[in-house]
Amino acid sequence: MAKYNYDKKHLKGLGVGAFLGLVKERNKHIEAASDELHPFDYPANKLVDALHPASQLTKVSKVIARANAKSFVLTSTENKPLAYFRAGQYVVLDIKVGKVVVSRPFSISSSPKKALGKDSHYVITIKDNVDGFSSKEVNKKWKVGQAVKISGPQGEFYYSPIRDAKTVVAVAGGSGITPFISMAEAIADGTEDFNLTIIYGAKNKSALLFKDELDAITKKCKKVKVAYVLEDKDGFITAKIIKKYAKGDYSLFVCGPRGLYRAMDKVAKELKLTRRRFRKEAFGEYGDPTKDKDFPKDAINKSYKLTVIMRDKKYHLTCHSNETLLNAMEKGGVHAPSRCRSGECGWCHSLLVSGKIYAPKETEGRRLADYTFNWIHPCSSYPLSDIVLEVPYNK
Amino acid sequence: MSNQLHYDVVVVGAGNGGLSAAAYLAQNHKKVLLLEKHNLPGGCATSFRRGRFEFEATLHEMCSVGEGETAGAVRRLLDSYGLQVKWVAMNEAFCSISLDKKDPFNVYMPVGVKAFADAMEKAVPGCRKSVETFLEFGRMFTDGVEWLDSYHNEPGGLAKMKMLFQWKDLMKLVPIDTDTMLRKIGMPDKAREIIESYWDYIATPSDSMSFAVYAFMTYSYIYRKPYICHDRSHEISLAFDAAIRKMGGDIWYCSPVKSFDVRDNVCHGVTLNDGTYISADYVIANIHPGTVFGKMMDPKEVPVRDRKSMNARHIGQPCLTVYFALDVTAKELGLDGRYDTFIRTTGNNRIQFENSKSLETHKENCITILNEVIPDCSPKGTCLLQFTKFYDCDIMKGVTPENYFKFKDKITMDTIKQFEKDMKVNIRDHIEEVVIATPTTWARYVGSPNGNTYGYIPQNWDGMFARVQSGHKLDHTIKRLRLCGGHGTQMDGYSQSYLSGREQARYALLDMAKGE
Repeated sequence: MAKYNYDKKHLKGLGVGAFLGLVKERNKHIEAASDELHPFDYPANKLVDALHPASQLTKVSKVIARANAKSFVLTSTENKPLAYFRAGQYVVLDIKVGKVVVSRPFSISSSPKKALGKDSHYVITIKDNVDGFSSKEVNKKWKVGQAVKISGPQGEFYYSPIRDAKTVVAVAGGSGITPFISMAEAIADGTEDFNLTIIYGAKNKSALLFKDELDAITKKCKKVKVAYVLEDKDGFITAKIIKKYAKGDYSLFVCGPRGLYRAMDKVAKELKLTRRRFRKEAFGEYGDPTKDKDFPKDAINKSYKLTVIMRDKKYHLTCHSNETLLNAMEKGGVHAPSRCRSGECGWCHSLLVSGKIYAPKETEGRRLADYTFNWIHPCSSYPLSDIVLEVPYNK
Repeated sequence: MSNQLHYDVVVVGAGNGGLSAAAYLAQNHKKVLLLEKHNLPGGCATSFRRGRFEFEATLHEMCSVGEGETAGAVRRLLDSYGLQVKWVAMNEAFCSISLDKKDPFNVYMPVGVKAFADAMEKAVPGCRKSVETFLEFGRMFTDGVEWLDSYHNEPGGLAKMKMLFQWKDLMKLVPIDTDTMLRKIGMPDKAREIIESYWDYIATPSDSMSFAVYAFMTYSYIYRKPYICHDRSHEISLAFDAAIRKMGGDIWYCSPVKSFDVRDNVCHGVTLNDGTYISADYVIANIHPGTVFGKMMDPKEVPVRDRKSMNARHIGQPCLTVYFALDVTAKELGLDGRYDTFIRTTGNNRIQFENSKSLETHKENCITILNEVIPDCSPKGTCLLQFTKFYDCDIMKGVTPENYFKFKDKITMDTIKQFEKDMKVNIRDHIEEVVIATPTTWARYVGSPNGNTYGYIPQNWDGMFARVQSGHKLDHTIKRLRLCGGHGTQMDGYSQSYLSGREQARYALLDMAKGE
């Protein structure tokens, strides 16, 4: 055919025989192989089981009472070690409150090394009053032996030798100290290698969690330093205080209540930190959004119908405009998937079938295409109308 | 059981193949349920957020898209599903750098047949004629593949005869390897090495890659242009989700399937991890055969052909991707003007392939800078830089949970050092976010053996044309169960997986119509 402008001489010596025999040839190769069934034991997949389990079944094996808080030592009941993690990561606990199950994220405060081997365990620390709904329940009721279903390790709040400065200045507020305890322990036991200066803010001396542990670590490990900033004595953590402890190139890590983040945003500007040197943990829920400037006035103090579709089931609930769709679902007995509860991780990603929502800018972690196709994060979405929501399955 | 869940077809896995299969079946009025273990559709076709950035997970460029008169099979297919996607065409075919001291090159290859030939002539004077011949072959293959597609790759009767006359040249050039044929048409070695830069996308060195398949793909990129979509591949996957729902399909996320209910060589349904059983007239799995047969059904029911087939073939190359968000622009780094660059220590891809057999010798990188195609993909003053590395070895062997994070950090650090040295840039002082996806990451999200994303390596005897001719009947070994995806007849990659999903869904419809 002259349709194509190439010289036929290039095809000299080539026939169609090989093409016509392709299937036969393939069959011959397959036929010649062994009929043994290859076991599914690939190294990459085995690591998934060890590092990223969908859930982990644990029990409380020890309770440590602290000032206004309790630490729970969790061990696996599945005859294998708990998943290894990066110091600073969190797990999500399923907590039964009355008839419903709620999920709450808590940083692991023990070193990753403690998750290895025979004595594998995590330590989770929960403040008595951090969240009236769940933590009261836990801190009053959980005793040794309590069964707890938790997620695999989650979150991006950890030290990266690739990205971060060799020195991390960690600003902690209240129970926001927990991921830094894990980091400090990990440095002390050789798992991590960086300099950590913790600036720990609390109302007063008696509100400090882990003071004994921190003092013990700083005594034996030169890479970890701690400064306590007590509100009643020293006031709040300021740029001036940070400057006092931070020298040269450093990364500022912050974990604490939302108020602390807002304060540190200003401090970071004052310190002229670049974005890459300033990292915040996702920590806790946004709370009542109705005072936000861009919150529609006509939706304040309203109640709406919330219809939830999970697989082939439909649930009819109500949702108040000052509570997230996720909280309304949990209260209504629908245990939809969630992890960070801060709009960041995307695990609660759900289809807004109909209705309008308010999503605060601060917790906006959606992907671009989510806007086009109406996908939202219920953990940081508030209703502005009746809502129909399709959520992923969760047992 | 009256309250048992039943669907006409259950599609397991909402990867590219599964999405396409579910859309095709819903379009053809079947009651479809699409099951996905993750909370998002797409499998590899997804994105993720870190800080103020949204990263593309895997899409480099899509083949066979085009638009208007250049529209290819994939564009027509996705349009037929009613997918709403903001497609972005690019003007770059590829950039290729060989750091070989003896005969280095550093080229930017544009799209467009003439522009491409001009750039090749400029890079390697005297190669024009051979490049034009190569592209003409590519054009012929493209027409041939379209012709075959119009018969759903199964020309019968008269058409079969017609094929022998009309597409004789195509048939002659399928079994011959790319290296041999390019030498035969007189292409200088350097030009050949440049033109073979795409080899990574097929994951087979060009001395054992079908010339027809390679020229077909290359021509498609040059003629139709490579495409991506504006809002990362998550956009395509959500567009599929919306289209499937609109056509009446159901989709369940976070719903991993534990096993296929295969009894006496017939698939009756699936059991989910939570114990839910769903019966179906037909089941399509967008899952690697190694996973389906290795752990998702009664071993006694795994057909002998599949056991043998799995042992005869080599699992596709695992890949490792390092994603950076930098607080500096590509222009400030002197890396602007290029989206997709292959950086190699040598132009010889057989050596590149051999190097990829161990972590220590692996030096080949494919880098993309998304901002060069989508300038607003990251905030002002920043850019998204991504390294993809393919290995022909089990790089996770010997990695323990305890050293996993150090392993990731070491590969990343080595990658940075090498890149900074080769390109004479500093990226270390600009890293705002870094994410490393290892084969374990892919194993986590797509569940394939060793986390490979390329199915099976297309060996000489197991190439596209041999697979396509076996995909309807020969490789269909369990009644009412079909497999689709990157391991399928159409080979790996986004476009091919979409085609694979359509192909197997269509065969399923034919089987169902016959009551099989």
